[in-house]
Amino acid sequence: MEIQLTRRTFLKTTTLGLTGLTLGCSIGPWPFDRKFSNVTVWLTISEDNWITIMVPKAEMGQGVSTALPMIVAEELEADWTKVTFALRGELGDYSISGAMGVSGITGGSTSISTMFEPLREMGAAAKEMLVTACAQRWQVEPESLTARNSFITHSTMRSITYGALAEEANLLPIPENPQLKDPSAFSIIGQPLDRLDTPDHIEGRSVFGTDVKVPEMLYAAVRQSPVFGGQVAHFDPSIIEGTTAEAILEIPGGVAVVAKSYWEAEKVAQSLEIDFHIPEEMEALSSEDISQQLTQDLSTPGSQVRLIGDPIAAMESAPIKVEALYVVPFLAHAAMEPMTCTAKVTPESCEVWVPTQGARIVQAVTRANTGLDVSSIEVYPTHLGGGFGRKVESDYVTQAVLASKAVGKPVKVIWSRQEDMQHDYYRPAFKAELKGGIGESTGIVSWIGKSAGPSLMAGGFFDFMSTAGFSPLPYDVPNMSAHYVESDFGVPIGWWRSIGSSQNVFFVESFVDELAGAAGEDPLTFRGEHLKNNERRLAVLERVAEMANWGQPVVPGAAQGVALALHGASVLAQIAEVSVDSGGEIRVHTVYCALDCGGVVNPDIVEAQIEGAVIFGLTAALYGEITIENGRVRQSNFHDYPLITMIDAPLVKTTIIKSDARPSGVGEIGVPPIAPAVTNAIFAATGHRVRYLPISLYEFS
Amino acid sequence: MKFSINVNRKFYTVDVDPQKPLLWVLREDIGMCGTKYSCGIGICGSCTVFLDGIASPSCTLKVESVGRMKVTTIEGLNSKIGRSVKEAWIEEKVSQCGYCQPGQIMKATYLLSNNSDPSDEDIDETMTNLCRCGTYQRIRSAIKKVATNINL
Repeated sequence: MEIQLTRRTFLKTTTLGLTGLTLGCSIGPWPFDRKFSNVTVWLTISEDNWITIMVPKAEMGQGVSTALPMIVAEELEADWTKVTFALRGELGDYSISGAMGVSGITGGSTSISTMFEPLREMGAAAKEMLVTACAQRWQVEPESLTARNSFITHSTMRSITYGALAEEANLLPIPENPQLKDPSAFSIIGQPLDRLDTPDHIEGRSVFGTDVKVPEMLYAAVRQSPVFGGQVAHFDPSIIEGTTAEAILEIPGGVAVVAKSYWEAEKVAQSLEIDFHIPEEMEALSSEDISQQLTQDLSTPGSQVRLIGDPIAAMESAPIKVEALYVVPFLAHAAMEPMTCTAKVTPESCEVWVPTQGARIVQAVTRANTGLDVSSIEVYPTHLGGGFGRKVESDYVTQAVLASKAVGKPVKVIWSRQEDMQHDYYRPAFKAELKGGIGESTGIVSWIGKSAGPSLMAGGFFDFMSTAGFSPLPYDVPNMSAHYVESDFGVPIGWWRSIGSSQNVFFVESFVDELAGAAGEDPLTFRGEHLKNNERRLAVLERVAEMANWGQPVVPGAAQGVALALHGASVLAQIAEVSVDSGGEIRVHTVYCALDCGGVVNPDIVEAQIEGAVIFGLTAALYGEITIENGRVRQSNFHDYPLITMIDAPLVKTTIIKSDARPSGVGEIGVPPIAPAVTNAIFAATGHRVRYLPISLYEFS
Repeated sequence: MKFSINVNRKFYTVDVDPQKPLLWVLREDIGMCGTKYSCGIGICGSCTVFLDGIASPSCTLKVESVGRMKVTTIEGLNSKIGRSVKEAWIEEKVSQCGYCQPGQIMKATYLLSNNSDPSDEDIDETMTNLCRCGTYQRIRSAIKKVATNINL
């Protein structure tokens, strides 16, 4: 995704109450909300030489509140020990068009890749203004000045802080073509610097959505229809009489109980008997129906996603043919921080404090629910206690806004864990049927794939999100087709870390392993033979094989499985080393990861993302399953939707391959390959092929 | 009903329902939000505090049951080992989203206060707190780092 920079204009702003340089800029053009913010402050330098860099993205653990300021600080020649950040959310000019054609959300592993160049220019422009201000003050040539560590030094060794120059710099025009550093001179970008948010996290000082405090704030608990699509039937507000609740109101699909304490509100909400109008077809829905429907959908033609060569003819003449059916369930996001939002609605204005991956969506939803102009709506993004795609949605924002509007005071909505688990936008359940033909010593000659599941892009679009990882294949195959059948069950679905690849890489990488087995070849060698035209992918595969000492597991009796994934321009290969003991217990010992993600801003944060993604994906592979019964989600908390804990967490070893390419994303790519890497290892260990997830459905004794 | 509870070596008087869990008293009535809500049934560990030095979930403990026990929260965790754990969390770059980390730090401090040289099995057994970001291996490294420093 290229950033359109041609019409970019830097604008200067002075902000009341701030001293020093406030570099504002407008990056455009963008389709809406121009009125809200056409001059946006991107960084401030105070007189005491502290630099605050605005982070126009959601911080949900992925490290943007450190990595984005690092990019600015590099070009600004800032003293990193005196840099801090402020979360701004993707609003107005902070909303930079990301991947997937979606503007203004934090998602798709796009924050660094979309903001790398603009933020470098921002930092370089500010540095140039400071140098110019210094040159004017001292009446010297700008060329005789050196900017470094938030100081400017003259060739005579005379020096001055950025902070002392900030006000003068602020009066200068913003340069249009600031000079960028040669990457070989980078001293901040590329370093494993400590995260800026950790000191507050470890003292319990960081403000997450649940921690927002607003004067006179009340709390709300919600009860939503246990069955998807249900609406409140009868509603008598007097049912809270005699309780500690102050108000009860209807919200879409449920009620909100408002009290002086969240615990009081939740207690009352739990005791309420609420009649819901339940759609009959939903009341009858079960996971078994969904499974049958997916099977039936797979028997229909679906829409063609890709066609290369003549896969049908090639299949007919192939000496070896393989077929397999793979199945994955619905999955919940289960962020540690449940859904929460605080809103303060008055007749004239609305303020919203919220952990969100889409501040602009929050603004739009608030406008829709209040009728207020966006200029009267302020959104204050908080830290997110995990997002993983769930906090792109805005259902919980609507609830807070409606509750505050109803009671005339600020209201903080917090969902119980049960509400969170049972009213998610789930990773969709999918089935896939794969057919492959193998020639005599020619590898895969034909690949025919079809998947069925709910669409993330309903509405006639080509659903590249649901088919990501299913097509195109990462491998060279001369004859190939992929079809997709859209299913719909009325279960809310959404973006779950790595989206379509979360299921599709399991399908593809499992099947490649099955084909390797049918061809009598080593799974890693077999993959390599189908990557001869792609040096980067081959290099990543070879590197991970070296790291893992492929074929020679460290743990006696363990076996290895390999898988490859792509995300944007990033390539990742994983090898999982797995044991299955005589009682059928599975233990994932070590996961080796080789990653090519282009240039790297903070290698430690990149490694942390891969480590975390492996755990996220492994949790799903081992245990993750949301099941539906009578239109309801059966699971309610971590006892029946378990997450991996320390005892089952493998060691993740990551190698980042050095690259001069521009940075590509890393937040999601670690998730998809872990399920097939583990199930391929289980096959190597036991001869059992896992085609259904989660793995806990199988007994290996 | 009024309760006087000792939190971080200071007494706070709160007027609340006796059934109200300590977690919500800390967060709403005392205003300390470092202790987090996540599961509400005492299994995830995000709400971990010390009760007379013992790591315990605060989401299932009624305020009336706190009595004279000394409550320590992340905000008041300043013991020598507590500080070492916090420093190790920075050095090992543990935290991602940060939401579960106060609970993890409380639990790790508890472990190290009672076992200055925990084995991997000891760590597995005690560190049962959930982390959705998957920071487990760094938590393990941080605990080992503190243990090494204690035993120097």
